[in-house]
Parts: sequence; C-alpha cells; structure tokens
Amino acid sequence: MNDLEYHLYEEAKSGRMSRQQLLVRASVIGASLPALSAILAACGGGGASSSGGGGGSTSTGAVKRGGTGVFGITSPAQDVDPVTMFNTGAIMTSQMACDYLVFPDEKYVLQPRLATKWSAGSTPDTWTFTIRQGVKWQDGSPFTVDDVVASFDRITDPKIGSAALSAFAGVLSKGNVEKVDEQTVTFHLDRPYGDFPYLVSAFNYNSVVLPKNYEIGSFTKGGVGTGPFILKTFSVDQGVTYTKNPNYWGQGMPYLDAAQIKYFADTPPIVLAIQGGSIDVFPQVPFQGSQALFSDSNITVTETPSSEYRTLQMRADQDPFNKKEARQAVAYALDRPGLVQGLFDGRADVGNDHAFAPIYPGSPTTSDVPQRTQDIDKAKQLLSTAGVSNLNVTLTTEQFLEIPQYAQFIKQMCAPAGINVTLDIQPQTKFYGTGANQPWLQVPFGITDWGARGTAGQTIDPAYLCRSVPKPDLSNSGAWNSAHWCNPQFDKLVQQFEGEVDEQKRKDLAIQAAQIQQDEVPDVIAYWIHELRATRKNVHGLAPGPTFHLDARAMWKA
Amino acid sequence: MGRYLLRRLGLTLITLVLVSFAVFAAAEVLPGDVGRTILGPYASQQQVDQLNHQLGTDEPLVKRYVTWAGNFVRGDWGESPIQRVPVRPLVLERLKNSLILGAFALILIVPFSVALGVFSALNYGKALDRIISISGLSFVALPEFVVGVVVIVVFAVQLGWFPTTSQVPSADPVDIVRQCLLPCIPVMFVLFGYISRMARAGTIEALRSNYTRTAVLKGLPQRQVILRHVLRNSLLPTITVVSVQVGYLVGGLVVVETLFNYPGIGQLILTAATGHDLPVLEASVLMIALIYTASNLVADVVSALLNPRVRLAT
Repeated sequence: MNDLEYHLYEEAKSGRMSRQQLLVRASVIGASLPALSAILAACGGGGASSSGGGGGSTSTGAVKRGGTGVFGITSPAQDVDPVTMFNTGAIMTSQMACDYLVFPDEKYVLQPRLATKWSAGSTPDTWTFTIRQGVKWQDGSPFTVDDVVASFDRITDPKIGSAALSAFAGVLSKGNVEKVDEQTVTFHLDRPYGDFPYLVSAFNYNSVVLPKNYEIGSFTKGGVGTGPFILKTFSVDQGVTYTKNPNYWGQGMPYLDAAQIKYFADTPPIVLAIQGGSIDVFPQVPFQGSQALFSDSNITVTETPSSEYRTLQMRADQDPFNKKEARQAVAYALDRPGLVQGLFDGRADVGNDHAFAPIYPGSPTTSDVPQRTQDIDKAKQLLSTAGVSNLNVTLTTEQFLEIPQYAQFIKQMCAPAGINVTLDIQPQTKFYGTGANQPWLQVPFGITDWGARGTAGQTIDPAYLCRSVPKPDLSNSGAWNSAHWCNPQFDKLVQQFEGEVDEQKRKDLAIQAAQIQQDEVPDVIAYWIHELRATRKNVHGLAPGPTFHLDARAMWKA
Repeated sequence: MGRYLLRRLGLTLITLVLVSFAVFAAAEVLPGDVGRTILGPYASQQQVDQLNHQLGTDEPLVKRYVTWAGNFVRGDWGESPIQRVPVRPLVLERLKNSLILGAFALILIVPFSVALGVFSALNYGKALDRIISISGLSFVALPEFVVGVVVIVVFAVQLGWFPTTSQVPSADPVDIVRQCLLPCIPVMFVLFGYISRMARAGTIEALRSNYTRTAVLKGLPQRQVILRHVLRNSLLPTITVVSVQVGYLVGGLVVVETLFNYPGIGQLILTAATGHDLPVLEASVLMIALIYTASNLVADVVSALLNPRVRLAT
C-alpha cells in the first residue's frame, strides 16, 4: 500500500469515515484493488462491492441486446464542440461518443475509463495516470498517450479558450502534461490539489479525450471519439443519431444497436414525449413543469443529491449589505425547509450558507456546523445592531426555473423582519449580460443559478475567493464572486484544504472554512437541488447520474 | 387591372425594404451579443470581443446593413454564426415546414368557419346562431398552449392515436394528417371565432341589402340568391381577414411549434432573436414579410376579381 492508501486504511479502522466516504476517497486517490479490499474490510463492510464497471441499476434478468435508445434533451441551440461546449445539451451530445480518463458514478466514486490506474506523487502536485491499451478511435486508428497529452494541452490553452480554463485555473497549465511512456502520463500541477482526478472526469466536461489532430468544429461531422456510440448525423433543429461502435473497448458494450438524441426547445414537450413513449429517457429533468412524471406508472424517476444550487448574493462591499449583520438578518429570515417543500416538493437538501454541499464526501455536517434556521426575532435584532430598522432593497434576478418563485418567497419571508424587498425579474440573457454590463456580477442583491460541480473546490473557487472578485470593468475572466466578498483567512483555509490529503486535516479545514463562510454569509445558500432523471420502465442499465452526465454504454431496453 | 397590380407590387417592394430596416434596427436594441451567446457565460470578455470582431458585429450599423442587403438580393444570405450552417437552406427549409402546417390549418378551417358564419347569419337571432358565436369567442380566448397540451394529453398520450411530437410530414396524405392535425387544433381554435364572425357580419349585411331583396322578390331560389349574390359581397371583408391571418400562421406559431417540437420558422426566429443570430433573424423575418405581403396581394386580387368596383378604381 502506498502512503495515501495506508492513510485511508487507518481512517477505516478508526471508524471516522463512513463506507461511502471511504469508497469515494479511495477512488480519487486511485487505490489499487487489494488496497481497497483491505480498506473496506477494515471498516467492517465486507469485501469490495463491484463498483467497477459501468454502474447503473442492477436489473433482474438477462441483458437484451439491440434496439435504439432515444433521449430527449433541450437543444444546445448551436453547433456542438467538446472543447468549447458549456451547456448541458451539448455536453450530453458529446458524452455519447467520447470518453474521459475517469468517470464518476452517481455516488461520486471514480471509475476507470481511458485511464486504468492513477495515483498521486509524493505530494499531490503530480498525478500519474496509466492509460488503457488496445483502444481504437472510431475511425480505426489506435488511441495513444500522445492523444491524451494533446487533448489536455488543447483545453488548457488560453488562446483556444475552452470552458475548461476556469476549472483548471491555478491548477493545471498548458504544457505540463508529460508523456512518460506509451502507457503513462503525468500531470504536473501548479499547486497541490487533492481532488485532481475529478478534474479529468465528466465533472470537467470539456476534458473528453480527442485525437491529437482534432480540428475544433469537426465533432458534429461524425465519427470522432472512443466512446460507445458513433455520431452519424447532427442537426441543431432535430437532433443527433448514433450507431453502435463495434470496436468499443468496453467488453460486450454497448448493448443498444443505435441511439438517438432528440432536441427540444423547452421542457413541456419532452415531458409529453416521454409520457407518450416517443422517447425513452429524459436525462435532465427540471422539477418545475415535470410533476406529471412522478405519478405516471410507465415512468421511473430517479433522484440524486447534487451540488446544483442558487446563490442569494449580497454585495459585501456596498451599502446596505457591507454590514455582516444585515446579511445575517436575511439568512435568518428564511424558512429553509419551507423553501425546499414549496419549490421542490422536498426534492432538495437544506443549505447551511456554506459551499460544502452535502453530496461532497467529507463536507461538514450539521453536527460540525449547526444548521441555521429561521429566527425572525434574531433577524430584527441583527438589523438593529447594524443600525437599520427597515431595509429597502431590490432583488434582481432571472426568469429561470424556480428562481422567480424563490424570489417571491424571499420577499414574503423577509417582510416580517423589516426587510422590504422589491423584485426585478429579468430575462436570462439580460441578467447575464455582456461586456461591462453583467447584472449577475454587479447587483447589490440577486439570485444566480449554479450548476452542479464535482468537488467542493470547484464550487468554491470561482465564487468565494478573493481572486474571484470581479473587477469594476469585469475584465477578469472566471471571476464570479458576485458578492464581492474577500476573506483572506477563508482563502488560505480553502487553499490548504485543496492541497491536503490527510482526511482528518481536510475535514478540520473544511469545518473552519465553512464556519467562516456561514458567519459572514456573503450568499445565502438555502438549498441544494436534487437532480432528477426520468426513464420509461423498460429501460435498464442507465446510471441515474451523476447529475445529468450520460453513460449509456450499459443501457438496454426490455 | 394591370395598373392596379403594378401599383400593389410597387408598394409591396417598398414595404419589404422598410421591414428590413426595421428588423436591423430592432436587433440592435436586443440585449446580449452573438459572441457571448456562442462562447457562453464562462468565456472571458476578451475572447468574446475577439469573436465579435471576427464576425464583424462591431462594425457600424449602416455598413453592416448595406453589406447584408447587397448580398441578400444576390442570394447570398450568409452563414449563421451560431449554428455554423448556411442561412438560406436553413430558413427556406423551416419556412417550407411552417407553410405546410399553415396551409393545412387554412384548408381545414377557412371553409368550415366561413360555412358556419354564413349559416349562423342565415339563422340570425336563433339559438344555433348564438351557440356558434359564443363558442367561437370562447375558443379564441383559450391560450394555444392550454389547448395544445390538452390535445396532446388526450389524443397522443392517453389514446395514442397521434404522435406526441410532430415531424415534418411526407407527401402521403395520411402522414400529413397524422403529423399536422394535432398542432393545427390550437391554431384552428384561434382562427375559427375570428373568421366565422367576419363571415357572419358580412353575410348579415349583404342579406339586408337592396339587391338581395330584389333577387328574392324576382323569385330566385334561396340557394342561387346566396351563391350568386350574397356571398360575393359578404366575403370581401372575410378575405382580407384571412390574408391577415396568413402572417400569423406562418411566423406566429411559436408556441405550437415549441410544444409539438415542430421545426418551423416561428421557433427559428425566437432562437435567432435571443441568440443575436442576425443573419438568420433578418432572413426569416424578411421571408415572412414576403409571404405576408404576397398573401395580401392575392387577397387584393381576389377582391378585385369579385368586386369590379375595386379593380376599376384608379
């Protein structure tokens, strides 16, 4: 066992971490199978469960091969390219045909894909991956380590401008991916980063591996990738067709003969289509507008917790929220369980004003950081401490999913505390804006939607660090700290947390950072949304997550 | 007649030019920009500016308009910066799809509404007349997405007689009905009330006129009175109304197209407007304006044919 594996073994023996947490952390450090068995045996959980392989619901009965799987998703509304894509429609389109080095299952345990083994160096600022042999590109040419190096150089190149730049900022720079030999590649990071394998997984969605001669814009012409399905036709209007990749490296997979993605402009037609049977899978279901699916006997809806959330941001550098007490007053005014019930019918986790979402293993629990609950009297008290008795603010936000309703609830809940909220709900394009006018980064009081990210670091870095505070002319890219909050102590703790591999130290650092964030509350985080996925009852083998990421290689239809 | 036609054609051309000015100007005021839409919210402002410069969207308005207009009339409609496909085939394809849907709706609903309108005028004041009028008005009041969803849930999901999403039909009439009937139902609800009321009002007025009384007193059978004398006059306003609806039928079916996932031009315009895809937006709006003015022209010609007073006036 190497150091890290042994460390987890000790954690297991001491019972400080749950079996699930151990599984996840073991997968991140790339624990070998014997080490994993020892670790799990030590926590009294018996032998390693078969979390290797494609994951997915264990269905009774033999796999039935053949057929076409039809998916309904919202259109990416533009041409799809894995290097530059950023919306979920495009991401899912790519994931059918391309592979990552590793892939998380719905419990965030990392599974080998194009990489078979991985481990950190003596410090977690180098990571070495063993690349799977015998893989072929869909055009028949052999897949090599050179392709891996070229792919990562491409997405870390500032001139190309991949959306992955924000994920790799400060972690991996161009030119630091080293080909060690025909089977091994080493990443030399800019700083120690304990969760690095997540950054080469589906959670960094642009990190699919592409051929070294890949030309940007050629993905939709078809035939690019190592994945289970070969893209045949692409139309932004209609959708995408795929056929089975007969040379796929996954033993016996995919089970389907073909796949099809249908693009829709909005949610209601997809709901109707899956009810009517013209599509088999609705991979990313927004709760709003899909309630009919829960009571439909032909449809199974799976629910997985995620780190998708909304920031109720309050600018900490301006009146009135430059006083911490004013921000805390808003935080105490909200009835969080009520919001979860009212907005999602219970399908969300209550948030505690810090960015360590419950889904991340090792996040502080409510026994570490007590749950903040509604307390109107305290809110009033805090306001008077801040020297205001009546606060008049405008809440600016976007017309998107449940956010307008959330804004309404906030207005109602803040009123008894003496906070008078005026709502300004804008169309999404206006709220995001462009150039020097981007309301989501500038308004004193707003709500922004954030998609799920794979690690706490990915959630915190762009939104809560000092270096992520937007400049007045908004010229710094990737700076999305919309509360303009800067706490150097918090930054230091997070930096240490990201570089730390000792589980107990990590947990302590996380608790300290969470306490600071909860106390200062630059953004109220009231809930973490559960991701929903709907499939017709005859669909098997499709993993329920993580979040919307598509892994259809083991999918079959009864 | 010839001079009348020429005048109308001239006016049509001027209208189209003015429409193109208006769309170009309006697109300037839309929030957002192409570069940002293509690259997404996570790209740096520098990259967005660079892309905008590449696409030429930062040039002055007049220059862009003149370049675009010059190319357009020569048949070069450019390439969509967002979808990265040539604009002309895309817009024409979507236009064709919308025309199929619109034509189907028109063919089904116009004769039906006109017939019912005339019928209720003939039974003026009786129970049947009131039923037709009131139901016509109520149908207009129902929003398209409500009718659309109900229709899909009942006929497609529960009964399974029709598909839940509509594709462009092939030439086979059975397929046309299968794909187009459900999307047309919300549209027909909207059109029915309007057209039947116009037909009814026109017919009532024609029925009250002197020439009708003369024809009846002359001893002509009622059928002949209606077909030869009344209809020609009563339908004049109805024809105008129908031609106005053509604009809505071709470009305004955004809700229906979205609900049924039908690849029509209404949806294309919506996407192009939100994405700041100017070449597509311009071309689509202009094509709809063309169809609309053409249908107005046809309506005017039919009016003129039916009504000598129009064609002989100078």
